[in-house]
Amino acid sequence: MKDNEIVIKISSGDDDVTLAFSETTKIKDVENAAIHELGFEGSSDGFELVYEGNTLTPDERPLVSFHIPNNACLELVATGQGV
Amino acid sequence: MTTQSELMVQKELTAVEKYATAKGFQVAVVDTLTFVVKNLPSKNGEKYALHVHCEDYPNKPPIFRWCAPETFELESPKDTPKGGGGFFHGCGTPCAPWNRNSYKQFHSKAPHGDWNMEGWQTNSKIGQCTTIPRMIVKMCTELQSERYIGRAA
Repeated sequence: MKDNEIVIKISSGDDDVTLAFSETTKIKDVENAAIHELGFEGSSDGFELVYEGNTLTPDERPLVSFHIPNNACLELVATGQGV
Repeated sequence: MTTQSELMVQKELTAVEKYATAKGFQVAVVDTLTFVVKNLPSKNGEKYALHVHCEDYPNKPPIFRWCAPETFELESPKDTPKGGGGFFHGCGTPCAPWNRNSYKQFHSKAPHGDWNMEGWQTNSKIGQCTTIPRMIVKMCTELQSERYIGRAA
């Protein structure tokens, strides 16, 4: 593992994937990487990353700004609304 | 003969069970089209159970109802979470296009007479929430969110 790199497990419910990112990677790019690795259709607009109940927004912010630790488990949550 | 719905549920339930193991809650299978996710943790430590019935899924959305964890009694206020946002709807059901219980087509007290169950996956509010595991993840994260307040009774 490189310096300033963290490993994250991301679960959508359908499946999960473990990926390594630089701490400065934008949340949006983490979402897109997970969507690609999990083989989903669509873009980051259809999902949001959640860590311990907190949605990681705005998605232009980097991982490090949300204090995501190494080996954290995040949820990739579909953005369907409750109405 | 195994139906299309049973095959879909079998496949998606495997993913739900894997996620449940990772998150520390349980899945109780009732029959080939019905299961209960038990001990869903909320942010204040209270636990909830969701009864999921999938007859005619995916042609129609599953039916999600809060229930008692042991008896599976449906929709008692003491087993129902409340909070902000549409998922903790005052009608006592997770209110979303992926829940059949939200449609007046399904029952008269449901909040949405403006939605059609057929083609539910194309409802403008559905987003990517089109599989049962994603629906379960959605409800888990809602219970952990600041929108959750506590029990309805």
